[in-house]
Amino acid sequence: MTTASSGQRVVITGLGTISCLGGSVAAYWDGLLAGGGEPVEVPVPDLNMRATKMYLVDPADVPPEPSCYAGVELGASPRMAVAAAQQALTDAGLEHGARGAIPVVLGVELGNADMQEMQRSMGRTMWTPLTPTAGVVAAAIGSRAAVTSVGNACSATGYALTIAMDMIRAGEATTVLVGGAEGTTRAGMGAFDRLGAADPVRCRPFDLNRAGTMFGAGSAMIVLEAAEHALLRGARPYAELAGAAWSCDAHHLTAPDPSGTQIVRAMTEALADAKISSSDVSCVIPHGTGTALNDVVESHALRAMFGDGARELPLFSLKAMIGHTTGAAGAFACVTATLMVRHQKSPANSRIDQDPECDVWLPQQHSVPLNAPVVLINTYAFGGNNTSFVVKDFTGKDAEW
Amino acid sequence: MVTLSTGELAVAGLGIIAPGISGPGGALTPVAEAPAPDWFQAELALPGRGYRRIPPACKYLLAASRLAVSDAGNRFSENERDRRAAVVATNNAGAALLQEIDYTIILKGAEELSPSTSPFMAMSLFASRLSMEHDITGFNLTVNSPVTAGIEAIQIASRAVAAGRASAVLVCAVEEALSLTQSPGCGSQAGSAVLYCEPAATGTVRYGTCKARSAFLNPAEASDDAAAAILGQLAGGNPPGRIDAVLDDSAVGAAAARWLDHLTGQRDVVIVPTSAQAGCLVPLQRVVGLFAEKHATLTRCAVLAASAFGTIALAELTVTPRLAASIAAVNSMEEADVRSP
Repeated sequence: MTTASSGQRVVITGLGTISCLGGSVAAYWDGLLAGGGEPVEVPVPDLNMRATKMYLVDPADVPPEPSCYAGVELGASPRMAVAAAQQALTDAGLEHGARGAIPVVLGVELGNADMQEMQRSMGRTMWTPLTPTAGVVAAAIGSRAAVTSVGNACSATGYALTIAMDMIRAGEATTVLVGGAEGTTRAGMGAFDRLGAADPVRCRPFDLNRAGTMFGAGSAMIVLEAAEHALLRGARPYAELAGAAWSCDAHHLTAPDPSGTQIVRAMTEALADAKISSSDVSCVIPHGTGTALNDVVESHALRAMFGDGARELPLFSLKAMIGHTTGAAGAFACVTATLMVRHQKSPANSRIDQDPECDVWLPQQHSVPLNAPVVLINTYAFGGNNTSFVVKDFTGKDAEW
Repeated sequence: MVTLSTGELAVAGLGIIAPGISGPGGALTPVAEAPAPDWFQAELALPGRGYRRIPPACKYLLAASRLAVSDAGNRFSENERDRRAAVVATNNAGAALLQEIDYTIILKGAEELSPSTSPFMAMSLFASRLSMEHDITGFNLTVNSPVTAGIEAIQIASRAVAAGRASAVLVCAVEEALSLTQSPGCGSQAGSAVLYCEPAATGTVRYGTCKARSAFLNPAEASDDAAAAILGQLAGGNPPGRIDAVLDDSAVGAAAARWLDHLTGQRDVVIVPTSAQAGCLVPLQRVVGLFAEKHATLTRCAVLAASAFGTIALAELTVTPRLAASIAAVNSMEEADVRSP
């Protein structure tokens, strides 16, 4: 792959999150350092299935507005998206008057499903759009630029981040708001339950007793910006989104290709796009869902990618702390990697009884210091939709040019 | 504020499966009657094994993609699998299925769900099945913006190809009719439209080239002035000679229609009425139809789509002169292909 990377370098200048760890980025990082959140029973009626827990956002952290958009009643997901977007733009120092030219690229899978399902339980059946979230966010921030909603399931925000990066590199925009949001979903939980891919206990990737994944709710938003634009306006970048790549297994509707060929290719091309080698990578945030096959295939792929060096390469298993936030998972991983770069450390992982088939290093005793951090992130989805991207340090000489 | 698209795609193959439309040449004039229940013959469109248990919308997508790939002379398979890609637009391909899944959970429990169709609650499964069909390992991407997703698919595909992420891409839209309880009228659409595309700079410009751009108009602030500022940029300083506008009766659609009134007498404006629940098929269907029209000279035209939820997108097409009597005849006229320098 040869990407148009001759254009602008892309930096991260703003972050926003609402998650089971709290309603701010500071609460999110503190929550990761403290060991993450706990799953709770989902307070949704008619949840007739075996696995009924999620990593939910405290209702006090879910904003009540906007409750309606263009005649459509909104559930928690679009409302969290608006709040996280406002956090990210404020964090980047982009006030309301400066937001008109900012495109919005969101990864949204089952965006307003919680509202639709609540209406269904009440006997209301009329169609409403499933994915109004990007428009809701664009209206709230005052954007008049391109607004796109990507639906690549659990890797949706990996794709959204890459699209946003490509837009900046190509000179289509200087600044892009990118991210995702997901709420509760009875249909999603039920489908995973039926497929034997839902763990009733907790989300425990790479654990010997893992029994599937467990969903998490929340929103994560990132402001991407052309490096030159950020530096000219005096913004202080958190980190650089240095490279990204896509691939597709074309193997099976739900199971990953056991060979891992395409996920290795995505990682390889993401590093090449970032102009770094595998030895430069200081930490990996794996897709790591807790489903039996995903974690084994990804572990083998990481061994293929990094060789024996994988034993000394720390992994941070994010979903063990906030659940699988599906369409928003790539954005949450990007925010997490950015905070790792800023704080120069990877938090300690949740305690697990590690599956020997997953021969990777998951430091559980303490956080791991990262010098000149380079974090590789993987996101995968049903049908073998793979993205890998690189978040790296942007300080020192980089920040002066 | 309008976001211009990077790159441009050459269109070398067309495929369409929709009720009342017999092929690309009929895409601009669909039969208006309600579709017969058996309008789509899956066993004819998709002979062979492996199709029985997938949702109808997935069958439309696979069938339309076969037609587009075949129409392009199977050039798709000449690209390495890692260089093949698909961008699939959909709003409602799985909407009725999602409702059915939820009702099954409510009334019977999740253990009664079909294991073969329940994964399709993830809308990207339609594109994933398409990738399995054509051995697409470059990437597949699903875009689900209300109404405008089909035009955005052109924009995303052209940007990704310009960035080197693929060298041949299927640009698709697919929808399935909503259930009777979701939409008691006939407002929803079913079918699929597919363009087989290559980079404009190096590919086969058989039907022409296309590029897209998009913007956002807040429905609560859809004044004529606000709409004019956005639509003027979208259409450009020298708007194409024909603009097909797929518009609903929302504040955004009405504002766009009023702006288009200003072009009356200067440009050929075709208003295509739609509804929010129709989804994103119709705009890409118009693109297919416009490319299938025959012209003696190079012709510029456009498809504009606007949603009640604020997204607005415009695809600008440059249609290659073709004097063949029909699309089928063109299929056998490889010498008629026009290659860009």
